[in-house]
Amino acid sequence: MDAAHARAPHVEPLPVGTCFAVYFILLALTAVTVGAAFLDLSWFNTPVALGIASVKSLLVMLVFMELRHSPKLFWIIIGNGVFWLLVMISLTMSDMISRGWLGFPGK
Amino acid sequence: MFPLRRPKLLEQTTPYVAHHFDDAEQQHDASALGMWVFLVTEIMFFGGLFTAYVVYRTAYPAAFHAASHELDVGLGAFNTVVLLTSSLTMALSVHAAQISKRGMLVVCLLLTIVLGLTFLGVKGYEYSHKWHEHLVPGPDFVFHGADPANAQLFFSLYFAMTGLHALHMIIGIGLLGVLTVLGARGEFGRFYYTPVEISGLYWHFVDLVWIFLFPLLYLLGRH
Repeated sequence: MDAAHARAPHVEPLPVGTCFAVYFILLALTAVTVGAAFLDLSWFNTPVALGIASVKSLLVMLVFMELRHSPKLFWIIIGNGVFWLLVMISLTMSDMISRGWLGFPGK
Repeated sequence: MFPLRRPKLLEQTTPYVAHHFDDAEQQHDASALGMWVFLVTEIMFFGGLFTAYVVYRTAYPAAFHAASHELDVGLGAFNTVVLLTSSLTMALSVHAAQISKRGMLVVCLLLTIVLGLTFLGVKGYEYSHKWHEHLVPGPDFVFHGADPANAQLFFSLYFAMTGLHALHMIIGIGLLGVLTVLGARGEFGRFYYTPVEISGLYWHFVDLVWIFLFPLLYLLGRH
């Protein structure tokens, strides 16, 4: 076994304290999500719910999924997935919303 | 798949590196990257359903709000807490493997399995409740609010999205079962814990999907 093989695959194990801290933040954010849903924020309810869900996702990915200590290549690949998801939703919606904006011959 | 069979070591003192990798770090990153690429395809898999949801909710907001009221917020919130807790025990499992604590690894993995089964149990209870209330789309569907046809669309999406999510949980519990057996045999430790870590990535991803499903399905028009 040469020197390279003796290297452990990772530097630091995920600290237990950090795990619990993130867990309690996630629980608090869940309570905030439920609470916010019962408030009348008119059209703002859904953006708030999605915003909180995004923050929770980021916490899970950065800490539990160790993205903080992962190579930048991982970030590019995940960003790529999220980007194409948003492309799918926004292009579909641009079609759905803009239907009927313009007349066309025969209508 | 990750290598399930490797040369037996009485005590893990050196990393096991397959011959086509330069070192343990490269081998680890290749496995984790492979799992992330798979998870990106999963984003697109669930993404199709999320897109369908956005399209129909935009088209029929009132029907979606009325139908969402039939779901139990308490059970949904309880399941969210159960799943978040299972993510915590999964993260602790990875920690236990990384510091070569076999007992803690097995206990944390078992806790994760129990929490996963709890989630599925509650989900099953909700499904049977919907069945008895005739809220399963099909010939027996009965909805007393306004716009039953489009409320049925909401329930189609509800069952498709939570069903696909539950299927992922069942697969995840199977993976964790294998890990528990291997972990109890002492296959993982400081120098080799990749299977625990990448199964953890999968488990956390399933949690992520639920983090979005919960507000989008259970919390519409509650005010």
